Amino acid sequence: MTDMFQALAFDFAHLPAGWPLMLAGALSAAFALPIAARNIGWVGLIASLWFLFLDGAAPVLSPLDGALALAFHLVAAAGLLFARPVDGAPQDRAAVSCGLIAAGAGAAAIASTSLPALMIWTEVIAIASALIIMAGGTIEAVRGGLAYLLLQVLAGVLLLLGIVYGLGTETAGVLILIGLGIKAALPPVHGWLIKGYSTASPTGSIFLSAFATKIAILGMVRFLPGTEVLIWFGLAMAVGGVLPTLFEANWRRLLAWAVVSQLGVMVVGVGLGTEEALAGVVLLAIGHVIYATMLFVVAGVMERAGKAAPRGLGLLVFVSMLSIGLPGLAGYAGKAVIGEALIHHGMAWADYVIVAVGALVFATAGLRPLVERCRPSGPGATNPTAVSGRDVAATLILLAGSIGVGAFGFRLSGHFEAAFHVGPLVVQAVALAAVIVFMATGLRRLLPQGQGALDFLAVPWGRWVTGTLDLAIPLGNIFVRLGEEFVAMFGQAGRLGGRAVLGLARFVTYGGVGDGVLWTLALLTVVLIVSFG
Amino acid sequence: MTQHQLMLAAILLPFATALLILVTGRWQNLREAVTLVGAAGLAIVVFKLIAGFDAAAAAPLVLAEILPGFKVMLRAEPIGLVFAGVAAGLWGLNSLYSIGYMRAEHAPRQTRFYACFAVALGCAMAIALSGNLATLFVAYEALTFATYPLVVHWQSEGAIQGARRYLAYLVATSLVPFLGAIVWTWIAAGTLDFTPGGILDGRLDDGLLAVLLFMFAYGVGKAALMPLHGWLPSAMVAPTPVSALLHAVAVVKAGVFTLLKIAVYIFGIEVIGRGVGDLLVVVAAASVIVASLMAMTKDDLKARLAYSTVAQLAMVTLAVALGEPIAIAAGVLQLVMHAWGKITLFFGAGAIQLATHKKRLSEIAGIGAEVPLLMVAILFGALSVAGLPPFGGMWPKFLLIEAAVDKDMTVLVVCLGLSTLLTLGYLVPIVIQAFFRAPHDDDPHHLPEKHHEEGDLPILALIPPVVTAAGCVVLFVAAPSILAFVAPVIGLGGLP
Amino acid sequence: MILPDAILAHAAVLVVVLPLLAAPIVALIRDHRIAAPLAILIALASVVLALELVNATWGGETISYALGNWQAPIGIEYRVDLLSAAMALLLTVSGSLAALMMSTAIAPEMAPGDRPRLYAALLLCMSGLTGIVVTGDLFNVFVFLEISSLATYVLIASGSGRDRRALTAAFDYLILGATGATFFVIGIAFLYVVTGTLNMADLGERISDAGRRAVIVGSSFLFVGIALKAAMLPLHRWLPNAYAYAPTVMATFLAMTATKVSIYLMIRLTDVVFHTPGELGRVNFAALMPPVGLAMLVFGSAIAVTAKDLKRLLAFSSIANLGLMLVALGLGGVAGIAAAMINLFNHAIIKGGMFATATAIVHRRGSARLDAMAGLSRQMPVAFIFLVIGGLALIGVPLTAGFVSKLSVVRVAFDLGDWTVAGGILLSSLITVAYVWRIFEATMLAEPRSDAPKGDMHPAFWLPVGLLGAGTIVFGIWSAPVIELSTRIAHQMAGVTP
Repeated sequence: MTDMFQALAFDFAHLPAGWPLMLAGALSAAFALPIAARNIGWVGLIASLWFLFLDGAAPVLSPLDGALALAFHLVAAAGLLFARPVDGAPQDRAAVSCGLIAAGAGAAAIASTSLPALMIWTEVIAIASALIIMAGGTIEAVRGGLAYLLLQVLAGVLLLLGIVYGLGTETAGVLILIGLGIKAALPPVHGWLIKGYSTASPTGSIFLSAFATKIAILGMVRFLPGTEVLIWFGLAMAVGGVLPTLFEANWRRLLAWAVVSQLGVMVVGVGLGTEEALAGVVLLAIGHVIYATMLFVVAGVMERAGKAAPRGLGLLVFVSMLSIGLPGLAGYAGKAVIGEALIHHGMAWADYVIVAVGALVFATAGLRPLVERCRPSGPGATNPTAVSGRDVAATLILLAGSIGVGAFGFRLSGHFEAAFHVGPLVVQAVALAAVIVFMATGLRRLLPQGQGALDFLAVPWGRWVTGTLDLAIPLGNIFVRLGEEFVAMFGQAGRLGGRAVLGLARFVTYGGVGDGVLWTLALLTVVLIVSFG
Repeated sequence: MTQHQLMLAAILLPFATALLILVTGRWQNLREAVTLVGAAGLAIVVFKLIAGFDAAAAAPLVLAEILPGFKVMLRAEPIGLVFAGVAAGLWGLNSLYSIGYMRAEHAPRQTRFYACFAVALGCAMAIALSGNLATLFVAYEALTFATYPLVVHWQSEGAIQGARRYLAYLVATSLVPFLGAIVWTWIAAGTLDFTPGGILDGRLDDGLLAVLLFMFAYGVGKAALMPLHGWLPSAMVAPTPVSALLHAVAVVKAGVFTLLKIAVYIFGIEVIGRGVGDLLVVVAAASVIVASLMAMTKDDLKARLAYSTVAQLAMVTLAVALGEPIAIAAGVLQLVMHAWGKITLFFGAGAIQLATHKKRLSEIAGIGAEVPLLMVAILFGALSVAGLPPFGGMWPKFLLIEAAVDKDMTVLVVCLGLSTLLTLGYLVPIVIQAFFRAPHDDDPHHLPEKHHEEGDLPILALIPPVVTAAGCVVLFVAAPSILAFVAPVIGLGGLP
Repeated sequence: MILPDAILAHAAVLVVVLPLLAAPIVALIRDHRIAAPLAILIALASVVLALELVNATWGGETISYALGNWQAPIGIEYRVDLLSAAMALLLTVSGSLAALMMSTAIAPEMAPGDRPRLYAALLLCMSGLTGIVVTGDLFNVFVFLEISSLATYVLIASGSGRDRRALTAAFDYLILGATGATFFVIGIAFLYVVTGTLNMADLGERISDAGRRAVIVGSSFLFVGIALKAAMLPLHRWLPNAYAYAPTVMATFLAMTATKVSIYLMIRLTDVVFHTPGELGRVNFAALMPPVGLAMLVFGSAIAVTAKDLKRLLAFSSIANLGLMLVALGLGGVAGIAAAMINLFNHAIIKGGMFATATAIVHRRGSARLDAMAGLSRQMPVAFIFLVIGGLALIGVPLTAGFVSKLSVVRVAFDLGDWTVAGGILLSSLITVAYVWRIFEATMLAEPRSDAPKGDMHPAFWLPVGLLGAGTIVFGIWSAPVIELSTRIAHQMAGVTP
């Protein structure tokens, strides 16, 4: 308990980082004025940045942490731009409010210094994320959101238990591993991510992809570095996550799988645990926050537009795609550093796996949609409308971030230079070239696409979770029945007993006066017998 | 004012308010003003009591001696002050809400309603400030009878039946096991005064102490330990502000507060912890889980909340039975946190009913969009009750788990974790149903003209839940201060 | 005190003789408007005398008054100790309160010309009962018992103005009361034969030398006779009808006094005559009392739950409360007797208050039926409040006298480790809740009839109802006077100095 208090006493001595965002989120949720809601969001965003980086009392963050926090803010900005709470999508309002809260909580989690505080902020993010999913509005989304919440809370409880057992003990280690593992979508508990991200509204998935899992990874970096078993989990995730992307037709679902696969790469880095690997993990996290969001933005634009892509979307998809794997942009650096660390650890083969996985993500998440959906001469009539300025702005903000990662990477971590080692660059280039050849030509038709392909891999299904919950209802009914029986039995017994007592009482009380005299004599007899007996 | 005067003021003020309410009953606005002024006054008095509390200077104040040795005696102590603070703090909000609710419902007999409300608060204050078990019992009984008119308020056939059940359970438990246990304690220990460290150690052997503990646990029927929880759902026939008072401020909290006092000052925490409470741990933990499961089956919002209360209160009983300083701390915090969380939920349920005239979970689909503020408040309340950060409700759960871990009760740890999930499972659907479902998702017969006109929800019924919901967050940060306040009496060390 | 010494010296006799002599005078006055104040005056004067007696015996002194200056054991001795004095006070106060309400309460149901005789009967009854408690002579007890009984028959029968069944009730009581009195006198005869004295103190000294069999037979007869008057199960059947059909104001007086005097006799005879607290002769009746008392508690309460009439309900409740007193007495010892006395006084106050309120309600509404009381809480709020106070006291809610009573008995039972008794008392109080709640639901929750008579209590009831109601509360909070008194009595009885 003392740990918890001391940790929190320290962390709550000041307002948490990102509080303006959270406040803005709460306010915009509370007041039913969409325009005001969005403006509140912007004010909160700017204020949050100010208090995080520029204010005199700003928390001291390491460059990597600071960059991650900044990336969170970029996502919030993109989300604000992308959302349409005024016209059309009323669910967006909930998504934006909760998204802002999640972003703020994410920043707070980054700035926190202890596991308890981190745990608390992950819970906040989990709650907000669950609401974001539910805001999708369909029954599926609602149930998915509930399942998400329950799983995340379960993870939170495990973390809390870990805290109770005390950091450093073995039990605590396992508990924290499982807790963070669930939150980081480690198999076999990654299905929530696929279901959640794909059932949320397009706006929702922008906010979803950024915060929750990254904070979990951050938590692993801080509290579980060098846990060997994570390397294998990570590789399994990376490979297992990328497979369904080959066959998935739903772009956002495909992106969700891609997220799993990229998280896998980060988990591998955590498992390695060297300083270099950890730097790579955070770098990749930063990059992934940016490029995954970009992809979700363009996928969202596509989804909103219907079948045909609006004019100009192709360009946006193109820059997003490049951010995944092009050296110098967001995605590459982290993977390169982790790869380097793998090589240093004597697992060069794993480096190739990572590179291959990255290239596949590049191909399936970016290239294939670009080729298939955004060609001007694509199937179906071309969409005459252009991409709206807001969506372009959202992409551009993120693109700036993406370029920033490439440009200022050296300022973030000394290990960044691994991104410019020639060997890996060549390998990357070969891999990219291979997948480009494959995807840009008819060869890609070898990979048939379908909605929800390989969905069985997405365990546990949300249904399992909510199904378990539904199981509680018949169970509860049993107890309700039992209780009713109990009360009825009790009541019956009471009534019977009462009637018996009453009958007896009436028997001795009512009757003619002659009976009374008889009773008197009877009592005298009894008393005399007792006296002489 | 001295502490003694403040204590007297805290108890007499609500009674004086009740009298004034009866006098001013003819003039509605004046009557309500009296209530609000009374509530504000009480809040100030209690605040002064808490702020000026000095453990060293806390002397008992003997008011009467009902039988030789059976004294009516007041004494301020931290746990009681915490309870008093909760009750006094929420009375004003509840009154505001009552005004909004009762006027919107055009309820009859409002004068009686407000007067009984004030009396109930006075009784709660007396419970909070009681200096011995005798006084506590006196106030406890008075509270039962003072709330009866509130429960039976609508005076319909159903209300009369429900109120009978309410009364039967509470009076039966208090007159038989509770009074029996009190007299037993009195004879065994020779005193009934609340004494830190307890008065029973060495007076009875542990087996008998366990029996006595059970007599108390079931004797304090207001704590609604299963299977004697039946009165609580029955009491739902009352108007919603009353349910809020019963479930958050006065009655059930008085019950678990009594148990806490008995644990700390009659048995002594260590005495319970050395095995006396073990069987009760099992019963209480089962109560937590079973009541949660039962809550899942309830479609009626208030019934669902009632079973939720049963489950959440069992946690306090559990805390008592664990007999660890940390657990007692959890119990005290649960008393506070659950009060704020659950009152928010009841305010919310009542407001939903006011706005839409719907009471069932299955009927409220989609109404959230019209009053988002309310739904956010309900969500906060639900999350706090479930024990998620950053809401106050997290602390008691956390400390309970810690206590269970300390005692190596792994099964209990699992139970507690499970209960959090179950709590979410039955509370979050309220928010989901109201907020995220389209109004006629699965209701093909939904008639658009049934849609009520806007502005049905009086502002007075909206502000209180919002305030209490915000309170849930504030309490998350404030919890360590509350703990620090009660730490000396429960022997809790290691606070920063 | 305020009285001149000349009167003081004779207080022990005057308290009996004054109402006894005044009764014929009152009966002879034709005009009820003169008769009533006179009766009230006499009753109040008796109260003053009784107070004087209490004052004189408070310290444990015993006043012995030889009637006609014939010394005991030849002459009749009036022997007043604290128990007698306190009982006399209770009786005279009850009589006064009844007298205060009497003329108003009886007005609707009795012709003006008949009323003075009723007042006289009340005085006579009070005088007879007082005589029982102050006399030190066993045969004298029998005489006063008869006086009071005869007066009681009249009081009950006078309820025929409202309900003819009062006549049967009076007749039943007459038969049973006569049986009881016969048993009593036979018992006296047995004791007299073997000891040759009727003076109780004297009897107590000689009895150890007397023949065992005769004493046993005698004491058995005595016990049964008293048990009948005390409405001890199963000899209680005269009581419900008597209380229910007597004019409510007279029922008030009877409920406060009649059976209490029998309890007094039990204490007096066991402790003074037989020197065996809780036993008559060598027969351990004490062992009989707790189970019988518990049965009375349960049976009385159970029937009360089904009663449809407030007076009947209260009558059955009285049986239950008598049961509690018997239990306390049966537990024995100083604490047991003290608990019994606490119960005796408190119950008189509580039940008196409820009957007095019922009198006021019947006076206003003409009926004591529960279904006729709908809307009482709004139409007669003051009466309703006093009903609530009394009802809560019957349940034994803290801060009422009823709680003090119940707790004192439970405490004794616990002290003795008698779990059955303690549990039984606590459990039976649940049935009390049930019947008390019937009153509340009938008066508070039922839809009122629109043609219900308007207006709250008649002012004539304010003082008695208010006094008894206040007593219920005051002695629930500040119980010291009753407890001190009862404890002193118990100590005196058991011959222990406090």
